Amino acid sequence: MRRHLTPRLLFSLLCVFLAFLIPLSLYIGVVKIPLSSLFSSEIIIEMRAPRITMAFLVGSSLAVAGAVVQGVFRNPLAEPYLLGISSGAILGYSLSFFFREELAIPLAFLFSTFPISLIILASTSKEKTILLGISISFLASSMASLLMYLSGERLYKIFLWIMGCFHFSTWKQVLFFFPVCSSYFLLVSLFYRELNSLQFGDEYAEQTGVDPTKYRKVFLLSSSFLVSVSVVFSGVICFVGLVVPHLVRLLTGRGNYKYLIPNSILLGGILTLLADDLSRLVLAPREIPVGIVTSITGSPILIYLLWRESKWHF
Amino acid sequence: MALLNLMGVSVKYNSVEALKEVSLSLTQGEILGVIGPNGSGKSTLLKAIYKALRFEGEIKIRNRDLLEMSRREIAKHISVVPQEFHPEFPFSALELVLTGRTPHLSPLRPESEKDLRIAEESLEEMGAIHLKDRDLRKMSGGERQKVLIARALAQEGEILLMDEPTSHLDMRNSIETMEKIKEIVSRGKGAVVVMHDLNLASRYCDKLLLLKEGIIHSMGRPKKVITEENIEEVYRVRVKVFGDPPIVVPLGVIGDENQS
Amino acid sequence: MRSHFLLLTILLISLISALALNEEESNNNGTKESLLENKAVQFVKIKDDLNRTIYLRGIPERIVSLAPSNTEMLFALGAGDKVVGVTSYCDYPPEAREKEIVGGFLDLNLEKIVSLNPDLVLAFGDLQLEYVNRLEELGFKVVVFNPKDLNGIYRNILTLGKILGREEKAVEIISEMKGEITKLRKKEIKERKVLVLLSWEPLYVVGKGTFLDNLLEELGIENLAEEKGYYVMSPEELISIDPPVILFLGGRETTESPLREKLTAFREGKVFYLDPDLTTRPGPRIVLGAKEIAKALDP
Repeated sequence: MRRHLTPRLLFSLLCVFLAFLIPLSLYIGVVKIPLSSLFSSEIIIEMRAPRITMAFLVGSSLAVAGAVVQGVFRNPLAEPYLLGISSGAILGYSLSFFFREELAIPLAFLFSTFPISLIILASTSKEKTILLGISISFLASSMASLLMYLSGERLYKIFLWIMGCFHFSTWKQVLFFFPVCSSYFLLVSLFYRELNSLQFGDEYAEQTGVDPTKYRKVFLLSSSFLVSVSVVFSGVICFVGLVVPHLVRLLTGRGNYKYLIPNSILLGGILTLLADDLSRLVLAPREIPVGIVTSITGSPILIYLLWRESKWHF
Repeated sequence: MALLNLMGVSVKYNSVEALKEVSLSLTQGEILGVIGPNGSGKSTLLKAIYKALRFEGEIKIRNRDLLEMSRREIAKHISVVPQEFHPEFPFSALELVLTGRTPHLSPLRPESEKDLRIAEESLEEMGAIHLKDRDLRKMSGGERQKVLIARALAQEGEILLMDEPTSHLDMRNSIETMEKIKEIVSRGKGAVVVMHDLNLASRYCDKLLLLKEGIIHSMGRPKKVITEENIEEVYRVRVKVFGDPPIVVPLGVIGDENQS
Repeated sequence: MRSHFLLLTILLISLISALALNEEESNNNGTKESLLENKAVQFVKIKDDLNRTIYLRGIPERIVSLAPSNTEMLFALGAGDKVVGVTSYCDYPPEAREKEIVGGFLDLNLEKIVSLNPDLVLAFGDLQLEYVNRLEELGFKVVVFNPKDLNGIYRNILTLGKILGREEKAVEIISEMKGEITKLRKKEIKERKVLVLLSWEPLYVVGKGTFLDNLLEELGIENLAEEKGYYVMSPEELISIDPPVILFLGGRETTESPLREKLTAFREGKVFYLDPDLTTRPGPRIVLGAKEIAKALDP
């Protein structure tokens, strides 16, 4: 009835696409670098290359974290910032302007990881985790809004950070982020079976020998940590975590984490990289914050996905 | 040796006693049917057996204390077929059956040809091999139930726990499924099956356990348990019972209380 | 983005990668240079408004300005030909408009700046810190100006003069500016209490401690705003203060709100729309802004 790509085929296609996308992304930019010196220009090496690397890594992290969170909470609308990670980060970031601005990034990280981690560790049930997480999210948002109101001329800066940006990516960031996200990918890939069981409910998990509470904590803690770190480097980038897993499921017709994870890594990275390219291209020389690009392109995709889901999900 | 032994098992939900001092034993080749009205503790009993909830008393699997076994261990010995199953995301039947292999696998021991074979054979046994690549969400309740049983088979636990395995099946499929369960059990397994259909229960179960409000009302061979007095007392329904194995014909409702 | 936090946790990795990337770094951070080297070459030591000591070797020939006030200063000191990059807001003098644009104010394009290969970047305020850090990481010299008052502006002009080797011109400009201010102070200004607004909706007020506030003070004018910095005032507060004069610096925005009837300034026609370019840029033309303010208060 509906033709699907096998997961392996999709993976190969995505690899090929990425192979073309990388040089293209390196080429795109306000400053035109002639192709002959594409790989020796300082701008390319010191600025664009780390930027596209971060865009890819952050995008793939968000996509996988989104897939994991959707499975853990059995909710197709779950996304990586669900438990208040983005609100916490924004709160921390805004707070720094009232103390010492250099603390902006550390505070953002602090406020996005610690409350959430405490909740995850303390909650015994899925429902409690989600309710507490959402409440914290709202609380953090409202406090952040108050701070933003009081921040005066800082507001624009906070806004730009919230909207997501890879403009300041450096190789140092890549050096730090790469091991973090690859350990996460490794962890999740090793335990994909447990994820498969968890997505059918706590009881199903128990029946197949998977301790739901333990694994839920493992998956949520690691995902929250990864997403917090990514927010610190790139701000909040919406929709990638929500939409990419669904796209993979739609294209392959399967939700098995064995295939969902690797394909989400590729598709999430590719789409975020594309969004970053667009952000540099559309209104050049000005840049649109990446988060805005992902929102504008992500919303119609989400609407389409939801419409499609409702047609034959019974 | 008994596969499963329960001694004085009680379960409390928010100070409501869902199960009180239940004792039973299950041997190889035996199908134990659990019957009783809604809310009598049937599902609770099953959940206690695979340690999905807190209980008092003792449960032993092949003389090993349940409380000392890890979840993985338990899953290697006990295969559960749940009553309700609602998949949120696309998943094929074969993939679902493969999740039954999870207790036997680990990051260091990934899936092999053998696991795939076991999964496919389980589907074949349940006559559902043609569904192997079909999305679970697009199956009928009955088809899903067969896949769930196949998963329990693939898990290779010697104790089968089933919660109303025929509730979504038509007459033919119900009978086929019970025949299949009987055949599987005869190969050295044991099964505890919650049944709502008394006639099927009486026909296919070796022993019956009749629960009333969490307490064992009677236990024994179907002929002994399914009697007009027992049914009337527990279900509050007037019936006619005859034959061997006993057949139950409902006649009418007794009194004010709501019963099945 | 500042990565202090990350440096603390991955110090080792940073060192290793720094060593690995060492061959790329032909432009070193000036602050690491030894004072004993290169005695033959002229070099200048200055302090910027972030209190950093910066050493510059020789007179810069390719300067990128990241704020209109900086651009105006550069041209005023006669270094307009050395300017290679400006922001989209840098519109004075007209020659500035012909230079390459590197961005707005907070949305600058790092690649563009880098591609212009400046030997000096003049940044502004404390909101551009991330750009400052990144540029310095990439080996560029950045000087940050952030004047809080008139003296700060004079200091900036002097520092820039020192950098460009045009100290005499700098001194000339400053004394001219000071002279004008003194003249204005001596004028008979009848109205001496004002409130300065940057927008009507919301009521964005210029408060105490800003350089505009300082300018008013220098002119002997009282700023009726009570809080510090730039802040939003509620309409009731405005009505209760009821300033005799309102100076509006927000461009062409007007208001039809019912405030118009309640405020003395409106009734007596004492709401003045002044050119924001002259009054909100802490550069050489601030004096013209001061003149406009004085004229408004004493026509």
